[in-house]
Amino acid sequence: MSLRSQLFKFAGVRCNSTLPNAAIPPKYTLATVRAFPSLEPLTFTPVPTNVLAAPLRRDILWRAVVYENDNKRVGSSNPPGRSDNGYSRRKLFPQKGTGRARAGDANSPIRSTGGRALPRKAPNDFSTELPSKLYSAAFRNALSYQYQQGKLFVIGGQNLLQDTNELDLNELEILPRDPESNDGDLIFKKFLKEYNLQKKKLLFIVSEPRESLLQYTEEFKENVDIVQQEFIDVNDILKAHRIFIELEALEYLAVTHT
Amino acid sequence: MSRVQFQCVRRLHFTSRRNNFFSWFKSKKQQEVQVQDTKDVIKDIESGKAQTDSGNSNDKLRLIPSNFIGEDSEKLEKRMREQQVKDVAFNRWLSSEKVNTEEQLDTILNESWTLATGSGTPSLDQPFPDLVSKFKFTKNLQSKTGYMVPDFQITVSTTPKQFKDYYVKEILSGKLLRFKESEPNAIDLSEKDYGSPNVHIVNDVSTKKQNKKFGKIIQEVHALEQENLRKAVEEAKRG
Repeated sequence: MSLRSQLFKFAGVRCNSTLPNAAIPPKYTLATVRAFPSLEPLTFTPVPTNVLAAPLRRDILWRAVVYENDNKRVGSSNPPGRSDNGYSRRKLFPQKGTGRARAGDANSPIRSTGGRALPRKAPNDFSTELPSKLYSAAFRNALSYQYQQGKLFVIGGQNLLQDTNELDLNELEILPRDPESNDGDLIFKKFLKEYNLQKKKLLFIVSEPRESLLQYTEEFKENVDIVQQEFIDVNDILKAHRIFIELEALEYLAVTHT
Repeated sequence: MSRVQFQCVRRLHFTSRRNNFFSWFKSKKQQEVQVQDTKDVIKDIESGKAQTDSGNSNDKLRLIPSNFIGEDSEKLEKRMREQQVKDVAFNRWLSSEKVNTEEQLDTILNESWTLATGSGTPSLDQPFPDLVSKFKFTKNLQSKTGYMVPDFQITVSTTPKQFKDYYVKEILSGKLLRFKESEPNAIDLSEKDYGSPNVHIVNDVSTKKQNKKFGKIIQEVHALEQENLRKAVEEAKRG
C-alpha cells in the first residue's frame, strides 16, 4: 500500500483519482521558542493553524485597520448651530404682504450669516463598529501574515530540551551584566547590531510590564514599541518590521481571539 | 457587683530643649583668625611644619583623550561607545561564517542529521522520526550555516532534502542578498535568465552609486566652467 493511500486511510478520506493532491489541512504549525536577546532556539511549540497560519485576507485586515483608525480619531470641531449663533429669535419680515420671500430669524441656516444646520458638537465621535468575530479574525490574520513572512519571534519557555544560556533570559527583558555597570542599553544595541535591526520598526509584545526593557530601549524609542498583550492593535502588528512576542502573550492572544 | 477597672493613661509631653537666649550669639560668634608673623611663616615652611600649596587641582589639564588637540570629542565618544558595544558579552549561536557552496551545505546537512538522530549517512529524502530530532536538526543547521530559517519553512519541510532545496533556492542563489525589505516585490532581472541574443538587460545600479557618479560629473563640470571663466578673464585683460 502506498504512503498516500495509507495516509488517506488513516485520515478516513477515500483516495480520489480526480483529486490526487487532496489532503487534510494541518491542524497546527510550529513556532520556535527562543531566548532573548540572542534568539537562540530552545524548543518548538505547536500553535493552531487558525492563529499563525491562516491564509491572508486583505479585506478583513482593511476593515480592522479602518475600524481602529476611526476609533482613534478625535475632533474638536464645534460650529455654532442656529441656537448658538447669537442673533435675535425675531422673525425678520412678516410672513405675508412684503412681496419678499418668506424668512425666519437671522440664525436660519439658509442665510449667509446664519448658524449651521445640524451642527456637530465637540468632542466629535467618528467611531465605527465592527463585529467582534471579524476583528478577532483580523487579529489572527495579521499575526499569521507576519509569521509567514518570518518576522515573528516567540520568546520564552524554559524546558528540558535545551538549557538557556547564562547571558539570555526566557522573557522579553534586559538585565545588565552586573547592577553597578548599568550596561543594559549596550546589550540592546548589541542585539540590534547582531540581527541588523538598527533602522527597523520593532514591536515587543509583553505579558506584563517590563521596566528594564522600557528603560534600556529609551534611546531607540522612535523605532521600538513595547506593548502589553491587552493593548495590542492590528495596526501595531501590521506596521512592525519584526515582532517579538512572549509565549504567554501569544497564548493570551490565541485564547482571546478564537 | 462587679468592679470596673479604669485604666489611666498618663500622657507624656515633650518639648524641645530651650537654650539660653545669649547662646545664639555665642554660636554665631566667629573665631578670630590669628595673624601670624611673616618670619614665623617662613620658618615653618623651611622646617617642613607647614605644607606648601601645591596649586589648585582644577588648573591642571587632565590627561584624558578628549583634551588632546586634533581629537573631536564627539567622534571619540562615538568610537568609545562602539568599542563598548563590541565588547559586550553576547550569546552568538549563529556562525559568523556563512555557508557559500552546495558542498558545504551537504556536509552541514549530514552533520546535523547525525547529531539529531544519532545515525550516520542519511538519505536526504528520509522524513524526521520525531519533533525533537527535527528541532535538533534545524538548530544545528541554522547555527552552522549562519542563516535563520523561518518557522513556517521549518513546519512545511519534512525531510532534509526540503531544507536543502530551500537553502539552494533562497540563499545560495543570492536571492536573500539581493532582497531589499523596503522593496519586497522588486523584480530582479539578470542576463542569465534570457538566452535570446535580442534581449539585453541593463544591470541595476544602486542609488548610492548613481549619486556618487552624478556628484563626480557635476564636480568636473564645475571645474571646467571655472577654467573657462579664468581663460576668458585673461583674454579680456590682454585685449
